[in-house]
Amino acid sequence: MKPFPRFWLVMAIVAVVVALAVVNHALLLDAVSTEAGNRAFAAVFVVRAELPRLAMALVAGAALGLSSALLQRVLRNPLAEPATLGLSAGAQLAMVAATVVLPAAMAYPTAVAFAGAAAAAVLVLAATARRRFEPLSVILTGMMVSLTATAGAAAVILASGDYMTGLFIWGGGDLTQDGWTPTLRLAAILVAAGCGTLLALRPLALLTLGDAEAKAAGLATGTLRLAVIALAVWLAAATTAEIGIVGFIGLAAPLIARLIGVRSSTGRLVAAPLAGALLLSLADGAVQLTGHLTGLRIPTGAATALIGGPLILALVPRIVNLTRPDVLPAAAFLSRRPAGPVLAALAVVLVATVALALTAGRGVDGWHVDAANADWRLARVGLLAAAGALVGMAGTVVQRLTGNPMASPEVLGVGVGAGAGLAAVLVAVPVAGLGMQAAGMLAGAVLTLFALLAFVRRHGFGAERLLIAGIALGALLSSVLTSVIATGSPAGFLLLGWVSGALIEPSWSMATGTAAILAGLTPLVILNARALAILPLGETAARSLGLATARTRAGLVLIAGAATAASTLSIGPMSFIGLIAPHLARSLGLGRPLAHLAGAMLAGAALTIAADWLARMIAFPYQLPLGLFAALIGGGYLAVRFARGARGGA
Amino acid sequence: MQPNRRQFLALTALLAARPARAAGGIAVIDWALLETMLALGVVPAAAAELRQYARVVGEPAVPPGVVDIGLRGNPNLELLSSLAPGLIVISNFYEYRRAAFERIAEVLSLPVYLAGEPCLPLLRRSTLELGRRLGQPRRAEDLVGALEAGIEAVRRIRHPDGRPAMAVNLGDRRHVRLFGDDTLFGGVLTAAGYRNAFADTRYSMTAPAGIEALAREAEAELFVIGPLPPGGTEALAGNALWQALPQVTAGRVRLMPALDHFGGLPTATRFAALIAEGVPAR
Repeated sequence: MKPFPRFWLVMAIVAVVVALAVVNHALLLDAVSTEAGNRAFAAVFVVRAELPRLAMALVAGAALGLSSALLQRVLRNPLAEPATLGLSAGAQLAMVAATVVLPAAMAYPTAVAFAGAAAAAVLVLAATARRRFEPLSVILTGMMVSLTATAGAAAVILASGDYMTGLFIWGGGDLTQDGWTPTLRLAAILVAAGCGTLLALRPLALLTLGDAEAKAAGLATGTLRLAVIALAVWLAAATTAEIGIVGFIGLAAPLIARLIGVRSSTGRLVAAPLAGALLLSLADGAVQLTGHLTGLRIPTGAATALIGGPLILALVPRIVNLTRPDVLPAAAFLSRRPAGPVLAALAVVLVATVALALTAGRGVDGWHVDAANADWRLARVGLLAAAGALVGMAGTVVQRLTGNPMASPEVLGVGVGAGAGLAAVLVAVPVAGLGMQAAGMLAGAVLTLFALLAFVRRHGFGAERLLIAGIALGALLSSVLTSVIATGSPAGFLLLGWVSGALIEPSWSMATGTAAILAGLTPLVILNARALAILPLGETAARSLGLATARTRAGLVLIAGAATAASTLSIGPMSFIGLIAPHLARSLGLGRPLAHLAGAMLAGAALTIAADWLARMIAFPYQLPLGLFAALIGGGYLAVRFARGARGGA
Repeated sequence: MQPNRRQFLALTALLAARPARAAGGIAVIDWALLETMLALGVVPAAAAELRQYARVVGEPAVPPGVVDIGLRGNPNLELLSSLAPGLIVISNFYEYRRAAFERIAEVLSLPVYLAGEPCLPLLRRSTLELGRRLGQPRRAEDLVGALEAGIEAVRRIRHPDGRPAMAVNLGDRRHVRLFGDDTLFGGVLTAAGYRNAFADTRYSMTAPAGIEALAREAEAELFVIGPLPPGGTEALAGNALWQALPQVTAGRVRLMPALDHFGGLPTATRFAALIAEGVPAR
């Protein structure tokens, strides 16, 4: 291509950004100064709110673009950026928690945000070190960390009552300004990070040659990677501290860089911040225009997520090497250890958990162990056991289907789809009963599932495509959730509860209904046992063994989706248990499909019941969201396992 | 911070009159109905989210001994059931979980807020109904009368005469919540003869708008319902946008203490008293 049209493409984007700013300015003045008495206010507003906002969009967009470019470069991962790695959500959780628990720390918001983002980065990288930072695994873990941190932040906001209006709004990504300080602060960090990037350019170029060559040339590759990642985390944290979670800007930057013909990787490091600045300005201008014209306040972060979803889908065909052929997970799926004793032990643990949840509780006068409230507890434990087993089943199917032990049902996007359905119902009918809420969730889950199936059908049923499509759908739909939650309306509050995994209402009908779905799906999975044994070996092996992979995969996706949807209806989009339960079963040596499935279902049920019991007991009589404790258990398990794995080198 | 004390003596006297725990025990989930019940002189056996209630509503205070049954949106049903209440009082907000409450005791559900519907008549009806059900019909009428007297006092002292006014809560440095006509505060303003500048705002807990929305009606009186965002009045003093608002420069802003945004008639009466007394302008 000739450079001329590319130049005009950039100019066209710039022109749209400028036009949006001008139109927004006119509409703003019209809205603010209809009366003679407030010309003075309009003048102040333009200087202290409107102009800094325009500048903030540019600076924050550039910071996100640079952060993403650095991460993508170092991790060799085209999908890496602050949102997909969980950095933004980690920073958000840290800031929300600090606001409530340690308000004094919020005098240094960037430091707090950095602590959270760095913790997320460490978690993701530690979890994927053994898979040598394989891009797909990094993104999957990042999404899990992100979901968990979001659930945690939602729980904290819920628990602290209505003090947190600001956090509601900021959580959705908010660029409104009331002065120049935040913009200048972020700009200073951007300049510093830019200098750091310039210093790292040559060593980074060396790194492109390959680790061995770079080491031979005297480069401390580990230190360099760590330093560059720290730089990226710092940028992401500082941006999140100022404007909240604005995702997916970094994904578009390389796409644009490629469109305008930047080929060299150094050139891309320069082009990414510029593209980010333009894109965020574009998104924020569009959001403001929508606000002026319709009165609808869409959080800027929700708008970028809305763009981000399709963007990931568009990027998929261009992406190769999402998985590393030199990482072989299959061995773990082939264990021949006897399953009987392990399954028996898991069953004993489940029975003990059930007994604990049925008999132990707190009342007005302290702890007591008895059979009081047995009918309440039976329905609750029954529902949790069935839902937990469903999550375990979905996790097993997804992990074996994709041959990726970091995959989990949450990343299918079905859970978020259910949430979007719930959001739609609550916005349309604020007084919707439980039945209508469930219907909305079911419709959302089913629609998402079919969208997912339609996409992977068109692009082939490869494991990568499936996971990426799920992540993209999740991002797209989560923007609906974010928008409704950011309104702070009663519907938003209810949704926040659902996101954090607050159990709606354990009734007998729900328990038996969920158990019936479990009973219906289990034989379907068992029928597919052979496929589940073969699929982890990879596409080629599966074909050569005579498996009609496309149809089998479609069937298994449907089963996993149905199981996820059914569990989501009652216990919310529980992060981590769908990942942990199959993981745990496998690490106990349950490698054959049916043993793996049974083990994961037992573990899932026990974990869910335990998480719920803890959630109800710790702050009695205040019942905390179950999702929060599921995340704590799951996060703890992962951290311990990976710490051990890193030391043992296995 | 309690300029309304004096005007409220009557109500406090009502409260102190007979704090007897009703036989069979009453559990209240909704805060508007909780404060109404307390103002009726009936002390429930259990109520929801009392820690937050003490911070946000405060008045009338909940006597010690009332059992806290956890979050309003997610009350501890096991605890509630072990208390074996005779009656559970909920509002339309919690109607969707009615079935669970009915398993424990008889449920009395009274509407307190319906989107788009003026809430004062609704609260008046619900208060009278609650008074009737709790055997305190006279006191319920007194509560209704107290609000009418409070509104009348605003008319007499402030002479609203259709002047524009707005009731807002400051969410953070750059966002405000607007109280439309179907809210408690919007309802009181309209009833007293003000013109609510945000009449058409659809009610929601935090209907957030940019602070610039306040500048649209430069002439309006601005009633700021507490609590203030972190930093309080000091943060407002350093907030250039806030200081530039026409209402602030003209001194037409009244900062009020924390009031329950979903309160009942007692909260409405407090609000009216605060307007009538004319909290110091700033």
